[in-house]
Amino acid sequence: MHEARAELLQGTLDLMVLKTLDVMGAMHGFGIARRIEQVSANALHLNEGTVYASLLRLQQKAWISASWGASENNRKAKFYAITPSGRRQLRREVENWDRTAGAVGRVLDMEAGA
Amino acid sequence: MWRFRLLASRLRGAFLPDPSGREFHLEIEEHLRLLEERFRRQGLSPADVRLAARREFGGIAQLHEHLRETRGLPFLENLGRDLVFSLRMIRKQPGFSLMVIAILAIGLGANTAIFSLVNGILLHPLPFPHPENLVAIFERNVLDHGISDYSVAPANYFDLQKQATTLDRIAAISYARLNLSGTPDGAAPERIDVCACSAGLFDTIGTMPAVGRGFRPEEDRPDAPPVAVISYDLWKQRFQGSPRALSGVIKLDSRLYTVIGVMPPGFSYPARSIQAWIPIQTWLPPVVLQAHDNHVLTVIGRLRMGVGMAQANAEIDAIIGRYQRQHPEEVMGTGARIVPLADSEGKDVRKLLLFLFGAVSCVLLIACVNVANLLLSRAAARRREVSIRTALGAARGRIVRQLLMESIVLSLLGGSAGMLLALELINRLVDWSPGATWVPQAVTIRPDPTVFFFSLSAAVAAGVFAGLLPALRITTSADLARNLKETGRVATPGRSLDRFRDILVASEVALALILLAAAGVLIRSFGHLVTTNLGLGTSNRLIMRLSLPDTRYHERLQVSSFLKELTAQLQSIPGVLGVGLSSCPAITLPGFCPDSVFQIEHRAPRAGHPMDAQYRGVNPDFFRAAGIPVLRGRAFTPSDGIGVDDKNPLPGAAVINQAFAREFFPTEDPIDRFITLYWFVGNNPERSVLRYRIVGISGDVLERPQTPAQPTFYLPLLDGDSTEVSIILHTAAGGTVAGAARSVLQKIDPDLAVFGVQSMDESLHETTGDRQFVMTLLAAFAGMAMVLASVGLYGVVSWGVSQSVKEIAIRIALGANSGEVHRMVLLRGLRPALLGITTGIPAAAFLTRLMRGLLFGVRPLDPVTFTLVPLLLVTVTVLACSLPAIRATRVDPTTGLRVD
Repeated sequence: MHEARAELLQGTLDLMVLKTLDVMGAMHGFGIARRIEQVSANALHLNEGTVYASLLRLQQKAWISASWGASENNRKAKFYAITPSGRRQLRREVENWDRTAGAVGRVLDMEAGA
Repeated sequence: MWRFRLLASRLRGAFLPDPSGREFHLEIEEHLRLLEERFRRQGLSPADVRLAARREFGGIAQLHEHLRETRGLPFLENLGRDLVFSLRMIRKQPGFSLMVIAILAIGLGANTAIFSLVNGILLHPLPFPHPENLVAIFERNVLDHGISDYSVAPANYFDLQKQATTLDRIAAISYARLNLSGTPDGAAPERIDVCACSAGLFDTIGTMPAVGRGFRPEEDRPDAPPVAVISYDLWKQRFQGSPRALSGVIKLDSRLYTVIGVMPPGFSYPARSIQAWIPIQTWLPPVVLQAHDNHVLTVIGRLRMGVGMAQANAEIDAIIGRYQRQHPEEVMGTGARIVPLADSEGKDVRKLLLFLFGAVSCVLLIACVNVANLLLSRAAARRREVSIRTALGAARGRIVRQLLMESIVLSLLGGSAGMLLALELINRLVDWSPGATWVPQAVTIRPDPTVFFFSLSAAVAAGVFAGLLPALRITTSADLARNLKETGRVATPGRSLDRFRDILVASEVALALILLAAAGVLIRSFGHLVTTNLGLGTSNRLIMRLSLPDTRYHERLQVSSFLKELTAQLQSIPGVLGVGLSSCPAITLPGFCPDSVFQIEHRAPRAGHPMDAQYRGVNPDFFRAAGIPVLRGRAFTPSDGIGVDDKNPLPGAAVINQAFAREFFPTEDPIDRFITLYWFVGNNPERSVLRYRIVGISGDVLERPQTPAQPTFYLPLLDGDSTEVSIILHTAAGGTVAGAARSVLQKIDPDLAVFGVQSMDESLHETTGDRQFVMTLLAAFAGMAMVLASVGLYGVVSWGVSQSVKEIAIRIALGANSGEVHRMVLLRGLRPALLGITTGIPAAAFLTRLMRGLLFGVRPLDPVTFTLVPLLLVTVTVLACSLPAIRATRVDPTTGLRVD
């Protein structure tokens, strides 16, 4: 089962978490994990624990903020939200990603056409 | 920006108590619960639900670990943990730790102290603005004596002052010791060092008085009213630091000087002992100031901006050379040369300090090796602990860091203790060092931050070296398995580390041998020095000096009658057997006594090589009182002088020493020959030709044991030409006459300060003082080296015994007697010691050969030293091994075999 799912590229998880929070608003860790799973249509293999490592990294850089709230089954859960500087960072990262992905794609296309 | 926030957040994480660790736990728990619920809804069994949730989430422990590391500053935290652990280890082994700290403290303390002297004197610039532009000027080739640099004659100084364009400023310096009169409010008369200088001295070196002002040019004239600038210390002492000093006066040699300025505290040019500065032209008599042949001045100058040494040198050389060519009859330099002032100051101290620095560096090296050795033995003892930790998964870097931290902490502790020791030593060294007071930089000798940093880094480097080596060795994975095995199961432990330690100990022994040999030959030289027959009586001789103020003893007749009165009075003191008076101390530093050119009647003067010899004025009883034999002819009588008429001197009598006879009368009989001098007599402004008939030949007196006797002629002191008088009293054994002699002098003239009252033996001690200083320090360093080396030997051998208990137990069980065990342990220590001794001897021989200039009466390869020192080291080795050896013979085979 693992072989069918792509391993996550280094650093892309942070980008996905930021994007998720940008689109969905404040969420807790479980929700973020579910959302990434849905959107990527189960194609990405995600150790859900790593989401928390990513959340801590983003928090340390002050790109997201955290506050305590209640989860779906009414327990204490930590909700994360993107900050303005996080949004700026996301814009930069997305541009970066598009540029890289485009470039890599062109190279691969060329090879396929040869 | 985010980088900064990241650091701030990590710092918060590292130092604040961490509530989110618990929060995080809660967060993850909740996540798992939500996952489980989801799987439950998908229809899994309760047992599978839990497992699936865990699998989906991934490693919880790893996540926690990861978070701990990213949340704080793991490097810092680990460092802190290592530090705490190190301190605990150090406390747990107080004996070992104290030993390491003490060894490092001794090595570093001594090294820092000597390095501070080196730094203060050799590496520091002179404590004046733009010291690089300051130069000293010397006349070249005044006499054909093989001396290159001569002091400058006053008239030549004035020529330079007028003509030199490459120098911005130029100043002349002369020294005097004057009687500073007592004051009505109780200050006793004392003898102080005074610098007679040209008005521009302070401008030249660039330091002005802190209070008041420096000299004006019009105050530096022969007829100017006397003024003085005083030292800060004298100001505090005589004027209580009051600004009123500026209108006050001090009385120097019965002459009143108005105080016009006070130098800043610590100002020490031209010497630390100078208490007052007076204008040179009010001090030197006009005849001297006009002389081209009286080489008495130290001359310094400041280069004009943009002028190089070579350019200035050429000009100065040309000015002096030109005058000499125009006046070939003058006894003066054929030219002059300039040297950077910093180089001309403290020249003698320089060599000595470098030598001591080399020696003390050896001690530091031994200390470091020793510490490395001690740490190695402890590391070996902890091999097992380390192996187990490694086997349990501790990262190698982590363990190495831990071991390193321990040695660094130890080194830092040792370094700090060493600094305290150094502070103490530096103060003492500056006081002890006989040369240091004559170096202007001496005042700047203090342990400055650079020196502190140097020592501390040396300590830490030693710690890292000592810590890294064993740390790397015992954590090498190939070693691990063997370590685990070796330490427990086999009778004798691993040999490779031991071999390395043997080499360390051998090098310690070799270094100690080198230092001991160097100290040995110096001590032997010193023994020769103090037992050398100097050619005069040294026991039961009391010497003292006094100086008659020129102002009150202006006429030769006044001086002469004072001296006669003085002789009679001193002679009448009970216990005084003889009274010798002389114009210059019988034993003194070379160059202290004046010399003069002369001619021998009926002999053509040597062109370009005037004859020159030292002279002393002495009273008739001098030779008997000083114990100098008159070998031929006779000593003086009271009627041998040149008479009282300055303008028409009578022929006088002279006594020469053997060196004089050898040098100037190698084939003829000097008795009844005449020598002629061209001198100023009394107050006659014209030079007279003085004739002296040689009436006797006296034995040679060595001023210093290591230098040959100077050709000397003695003239009758009762002619009254010298106002400097040294007294030598031959006393009955055991009598003390110093007090009586003082009161006699006080009675004749209460204004006279008597100084330098000491026994001849004490005075001799002074002339050998700097040598004794080097010798004492070197002996101390050598002693330290030996102690450290023996500690190293002891450490190796006793470690060897403790590791071989099982082997020893087996041998004893198999029937070895205690003698054999004893021998085995002894050999264990003797092997590296002998290796060190055999490699040390050639190195020591090389060093003592370099020291030849410091030796006297001893060859560099002194057989006594080179026999005794190795023997001493062997003895020390045997002693160091004997304790562990005895312990080894007491090993009980039954318990010994059970030792792990």
